Amino acid sequence: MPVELEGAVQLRLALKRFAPDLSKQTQIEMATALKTVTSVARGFVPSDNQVLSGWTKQISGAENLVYRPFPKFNSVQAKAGITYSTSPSKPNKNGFVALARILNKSAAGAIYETAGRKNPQGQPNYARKSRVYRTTGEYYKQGAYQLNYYVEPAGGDRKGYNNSANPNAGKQFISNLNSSGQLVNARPKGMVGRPTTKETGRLIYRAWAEDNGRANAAVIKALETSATNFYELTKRAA
Amino acid sequence: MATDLVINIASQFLGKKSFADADKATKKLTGSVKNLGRTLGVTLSAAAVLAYGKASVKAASEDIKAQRLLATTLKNVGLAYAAVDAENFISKMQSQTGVLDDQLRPAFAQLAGVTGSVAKTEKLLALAFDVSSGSTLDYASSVDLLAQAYVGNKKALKQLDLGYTQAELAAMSFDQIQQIITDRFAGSGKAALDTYIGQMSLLAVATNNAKEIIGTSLLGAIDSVGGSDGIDNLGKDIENAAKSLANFIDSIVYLKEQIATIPGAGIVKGVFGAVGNVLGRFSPQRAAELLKEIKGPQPFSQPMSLANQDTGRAALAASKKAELDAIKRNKELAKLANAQAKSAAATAKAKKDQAALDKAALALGKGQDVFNLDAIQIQAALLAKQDEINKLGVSASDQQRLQLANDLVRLTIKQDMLALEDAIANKDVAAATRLAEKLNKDLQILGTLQNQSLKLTDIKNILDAFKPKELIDQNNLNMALLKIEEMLRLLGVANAQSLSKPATSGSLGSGIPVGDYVEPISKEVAAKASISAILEYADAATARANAFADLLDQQNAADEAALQLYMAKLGMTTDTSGALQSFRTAESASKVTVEVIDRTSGLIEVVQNAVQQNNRFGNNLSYAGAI
Repeated sequence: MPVELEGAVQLRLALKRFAPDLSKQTQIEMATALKTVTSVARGFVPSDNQVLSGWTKQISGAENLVYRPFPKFNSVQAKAGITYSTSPSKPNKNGFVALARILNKSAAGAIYETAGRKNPQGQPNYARKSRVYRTTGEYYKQGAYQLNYYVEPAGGDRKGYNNSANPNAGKQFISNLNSSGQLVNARPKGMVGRPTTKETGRLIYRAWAEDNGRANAAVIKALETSATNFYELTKRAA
Repeated sequence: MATDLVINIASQFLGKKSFADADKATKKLTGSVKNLGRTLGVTLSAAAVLAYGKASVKAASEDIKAQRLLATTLKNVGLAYAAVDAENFISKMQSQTGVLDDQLRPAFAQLAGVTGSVAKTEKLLALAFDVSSGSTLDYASSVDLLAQAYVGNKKALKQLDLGYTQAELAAMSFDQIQQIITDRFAGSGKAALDTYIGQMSLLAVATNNAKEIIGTSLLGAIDSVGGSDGIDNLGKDIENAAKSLANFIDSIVYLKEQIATIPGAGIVKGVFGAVGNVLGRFSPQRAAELLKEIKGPQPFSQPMSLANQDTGRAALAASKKAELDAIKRNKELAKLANAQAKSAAATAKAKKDQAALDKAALALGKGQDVFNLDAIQIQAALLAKQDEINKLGVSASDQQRLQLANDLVRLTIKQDMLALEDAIANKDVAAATRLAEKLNKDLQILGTLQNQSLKLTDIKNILDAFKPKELIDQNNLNMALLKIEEMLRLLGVANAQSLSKPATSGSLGSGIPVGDYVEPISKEVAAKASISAILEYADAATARANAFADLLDQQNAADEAALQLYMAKLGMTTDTSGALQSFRTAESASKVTVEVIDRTSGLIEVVQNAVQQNNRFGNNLSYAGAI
């Protein structure tokens, strides 16, 4: 849960409009603080030969596929996907606007970041939970034969299950990822609220956890300083 | 989905509640923008234009007023010739320093009034800017401080923390102080201007100047329309509108006349109707300015006459005279400052002398505190005896030497005190100071000696206290045995002598003649003698015994006198009754000392250990029901 600052969005707007120099200075100060976290996070991205070899091999004829294949890992892309933003975001569904963000944009980087945080041993193997027995016609009455088949629900029911032929595929994949980087929960211990793994990861969340809130404090301080300076500026100008 | 991997930092809630917040914030922001807009010259609306116009007019009118006030002040101090230069200087300085002319003009007037010199005033104004930039003072305070210092009031200089005492500053001339301040704050103004705030100050100056320029122009326009409250009421006041219309007409007439004076005006005369309408929109002042520009420079518009030359010479002469007057005044001020400094130094010296005398008197008081006349007299009397004791040389004890030294120092202190009293009475500061120091030193010596005496006693007591206490002092026992052996030896000698010739009193040193011995009468002889003979013998024996007793008394008296002398050397009381008794007791006690030391503490430990062990093994000694 990020720190809530009242009036910060308005301050940013006012700075941009009436004191562009101060606005840029504020952004630079915020960026300096965030850059330390992203630099560390990029350092956690494994090289291509550290992950399973099949994850890095490009699929031939992928452009012809009608579905989106599983994203291939590329260390350079994963590092490039770790960025920061100092401009306010759009409000989320709860009405909060983030004044600064650290992002992990690449798909493969996101998989490396989060794989195993919900199912540390990989997704469970699919097993049919129920069978639907259908009997047809007069034969049933006679007991000649019985037809058993499974009726899949609309939309499928294999989501969240291991669809690989290898029953240990998920486990092996996660084990390999854990060998190059452990999952770290960036949620401060003792924080009020329901425990969650949503802030657990191997890249930006790990770097954020290791930063121990220094970047957060620096961003808030930069905003407060700019607010003070802007206030002085307007007072003097008035 | 990848964008879900984000760490949000310092967010703000903009939900339903945010609408109200946004509304409030927008209102606040609008207020700030308006203020900002006014200062920066941002015209936001027609109302803002009017308001800005009013503010500009006000600023311009105040500016004109300040200019006239400065000119009047300069005229009054004999610097009327410098009014234009002063305005130029102020204009230049405000653009360079960011200090508004609203502050510079009063400062210029103040310093010009004090210094009487334009050049000095300009230097001090620049210095005040450095001072205000490099200290916590504002510009006006800095100017005031320098003006006060110029006329000799240097109290305020301590605010600058120049590192000099008030007395030192008072002794300095203003030029010296100015040099110190210049060195101390050199470059502060430039450094301040390089900052963001400094740049904003310059911007504010430019904005203010723009306001004044616009306001000046508007003032002309307002003069032309005669509005009391400016443009605001222009549309409302028909009368004013009529006046403005009349002014417009006047301006057109004026313009027509002026255009006629332009060479080749006939060309424009035909189109005057159209041009006149256009020019008629301007105020007469603006029209005059425009015409001046159209006519171009007029080299002979101001003919070079003798009167003008004289005016220039007069200004130059006035300038020289003012500068000379300023220099003269400066010299007078310096002279006054020197006189003040000398007076201050004399006062300081008098205070210093008085302080020295007070210090000496204090020392004398301290000496009187420790000086006891009776003691001095007694010690002086003892001093003569101590001379005799000194003759003992090496045999004198440390205690005796210490006592003697004490007495000598006390007598020296007495001498110092008498000399110091004389010096104070004669107001001889140097001698009093020297004697006070000597007296203090002697007092310290005396205190050291007394402390030493105490320390000697204390050390002795402490050492005695640390001596190991034995149940029977072996040394004393040995000494006792030696005494017994000596007694036995003497007894053996006595026995041997009883067989030989008995010792006489003369041999013992009692003063009884040698050989004066009366052999005792045996029983057999006494039985045979007559009663009268026995009585006579008894009388003779009694007289002899009395004589011996007298001799012994004399011997005792001599011994006692010697003892008193010895005790006097030791500083003990001469009370023969108690002291002698105690001395004798102590002497006798020093022969054999048998002390019984309390050894029950060990026994108590043994008993306690036994009880604890019994308790530990369950054999409680306490009876049932005991608490």
